[in-house]
Amino acid sequence: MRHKQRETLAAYGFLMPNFLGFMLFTSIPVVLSLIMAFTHWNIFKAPFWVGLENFTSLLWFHRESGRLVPNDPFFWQYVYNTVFLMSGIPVGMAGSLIVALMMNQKLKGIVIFRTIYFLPAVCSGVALLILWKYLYNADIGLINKMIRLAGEQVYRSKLTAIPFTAVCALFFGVTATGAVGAILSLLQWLAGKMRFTWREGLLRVLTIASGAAIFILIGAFGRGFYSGVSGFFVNPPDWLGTVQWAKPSLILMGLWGGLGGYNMILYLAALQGVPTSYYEAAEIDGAGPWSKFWAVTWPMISPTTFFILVMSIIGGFQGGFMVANVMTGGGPAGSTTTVEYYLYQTAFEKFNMGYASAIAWFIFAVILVLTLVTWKLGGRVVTYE
Amino acid sequence: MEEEGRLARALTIAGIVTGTALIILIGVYLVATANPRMPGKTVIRWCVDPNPIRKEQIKLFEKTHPSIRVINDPGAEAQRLLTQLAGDVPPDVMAIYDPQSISLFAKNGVLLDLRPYVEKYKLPVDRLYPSLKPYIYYQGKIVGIPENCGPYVLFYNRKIFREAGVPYPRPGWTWDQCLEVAKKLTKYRMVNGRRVPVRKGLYVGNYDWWFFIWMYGGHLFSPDGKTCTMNTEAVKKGVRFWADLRLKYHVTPTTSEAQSMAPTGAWGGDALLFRESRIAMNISGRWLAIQYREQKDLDWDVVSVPHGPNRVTLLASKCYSIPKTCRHTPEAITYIKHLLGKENQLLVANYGDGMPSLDDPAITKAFMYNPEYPNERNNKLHLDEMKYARVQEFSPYINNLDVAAIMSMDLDRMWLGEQSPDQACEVITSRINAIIRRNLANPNFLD
Repeated sequence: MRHKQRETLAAYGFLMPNFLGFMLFTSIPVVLSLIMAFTHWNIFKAPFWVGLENFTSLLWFHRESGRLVPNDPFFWQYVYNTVFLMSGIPVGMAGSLIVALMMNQKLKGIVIFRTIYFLPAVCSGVALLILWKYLYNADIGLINKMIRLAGEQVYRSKLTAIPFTAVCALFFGVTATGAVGAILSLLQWLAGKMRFTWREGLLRVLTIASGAAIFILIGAFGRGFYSGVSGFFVNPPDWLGTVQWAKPSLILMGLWGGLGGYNMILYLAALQGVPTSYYEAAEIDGAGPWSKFWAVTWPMISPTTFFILVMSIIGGFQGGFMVANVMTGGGPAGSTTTVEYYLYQTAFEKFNMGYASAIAWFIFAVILVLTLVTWKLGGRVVTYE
Repeated sequence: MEEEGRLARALTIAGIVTGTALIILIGVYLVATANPRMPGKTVIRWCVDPNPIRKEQIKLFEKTHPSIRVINDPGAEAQRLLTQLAGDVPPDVMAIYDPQSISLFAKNGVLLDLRPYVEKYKLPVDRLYPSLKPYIYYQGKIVGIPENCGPYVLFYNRKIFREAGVPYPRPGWTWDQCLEVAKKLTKYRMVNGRRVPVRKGLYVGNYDWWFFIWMYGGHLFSPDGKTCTMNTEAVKKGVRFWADLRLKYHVTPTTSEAQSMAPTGAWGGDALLFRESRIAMNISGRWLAIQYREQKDLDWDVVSVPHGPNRVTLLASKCYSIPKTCRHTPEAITYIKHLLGKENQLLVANYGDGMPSLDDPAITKAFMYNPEYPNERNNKLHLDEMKYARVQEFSPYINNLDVAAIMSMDLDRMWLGEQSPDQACEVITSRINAIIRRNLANPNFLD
């Protein structure tokens, strides 16, 4: 036997235990679940072939009294919930990057801050969820206590109430305009990468026009805005107990845990991998901190951004089980039940394994499509050194 | 070079051997421990919740049956049972907790018909309470034997009643009387001009719909189970009353209020609220007595669940079944017979988890008075309530989980004020009926 052959054999030998485990516990079940998705199997009896029935029952609609009704009465609501909860991903990523930029400073004791920001990632998930449940409590939760305290001080007299509401209006208007501007910038950037060019100054005009529209609307509905803001501060919402606030509350909670977790570590590693010579060259060319970020840092860390985005999309579509189980029970009115929780219920509470496999393959298909789209777009905007 | 090659070859072989050996070892361990063996003894596995009483029950049995060893396999969730059945390592005796699961297991041919054994082993099935029938029979077959049961009763805090100058309630009281009492026992405090509940008169959980569906004689399903009848006037009236308790009279806590009143801040159920005197009355079963009796400063008693024109309460139980594939059927039957025997039933009677399922004067007498807990002076009530007790309804044409999901979603909307009780009843009816129609059209959903 030649040396190379022996080495190859050795490599396979080392891989074999893991490969066997992977085949036994991952690959074969994955293939079987694909087959199961086309069968009906309740565990009691042998599975039998039902063709596409599970998928049509899950994804399709029918007419009832002239209305289009989903065949599965729960599924699309849970898909909506899942997608809604995923809308926190970009904000979370931006937050992680900001924290990583802060943690990348050469300061005395920065390691302590890095540890503190990483703590949520190593704390027990269930304990944190219970803690957040307490924080979000409508009556005794710390968040509402603080909001009420502020509200009671401010809305006691019109002298403080009106200026405070005006500041809130300004803050709201600027934030909304900023958000519109950010979305438009992103669109322009993507369009540019795909070789569609926008007319010079269009972005600025559109942003200013939207800002003006937002402020005009706030002014036009000033009284409503005042009562909305004062109502919020005097009688803050039942965060987890109302359909309107439950999902945003979970997103906010996710942001807290996500800002300083693994994403921050990944960004930190990426930031530390950017050669200082690039910054020196940029400084020689007269670049300020902002220009250095956009011209050097952002492109250099784009592979990490791309990786985090893909992983977050995958994780987001597979998530929500623990939160639903511990914090909200999937409520109120099913507003925090995710597809993953539904998959668990279908498989392990209703024992409809074929149907559950169809849900699992739907999740896989969505993740695959989203990843491919991200890959396609990301391939054009990610800069590799 | 040649030495390196030898080393690589040795490592290769070692890797393959170790990996394979590990997999084989794990497999052998799992198979060997699934049905443990003991020399000279038959070992039977009893899948049931790991309640502390199990040890005593097993000890009692093994004393008189030295050739049989019973192992409590803790937990009898349907997932666990199904996995064991599918893997051909069935338990010998398994607990099933609700009539729909019993019917599901029986329909799929999993459960042994115990009828032939009833006479042979003299199982006193005829002396079980008649309201336990849904836990025993499936299409004429005897598929389960309930060991204990518990009709829902109302626990009340005597101290709160005394302090408020409200007379203790009497069995047979009505919902209207209960509402008046609950109003008197509900207490608020003002915090910066805001009314914050300190105590609510009554706790009714979000899933306690049965009392109100049945209150005016309504039902969730038609007798054939093919139609949801939540939209009948009888049910609507009951649900309206339930909604008023919380939304109009504020005598029962909302979900958020219950959480904020809990001493833990965000979690803990009705039992914790009752123990901390944050609620004056609580509807539940005998099993809560285990918690309450240990708290010496808690002065509590029980009374019947209030009733409307239709006097009825909910009945909870569990039955023990034997899978058809059981490898130790005679021993399993012997064990079930022991569970229905006087000594075990007396153990159940004294323990407090439930009341014995046998309507036997000697056992019920022991249940009525336990010298260890002389304050529990009203145990007879549990026995009396069996006359009005009824198990929860289910339809063979829809999974209970789907029913619970729809009920909880649309009742949540009612609690949030997004729809009226009548609208909630209509929406629930329409959604449940849509699923029943789908399931009838495609029986694959009915397994």
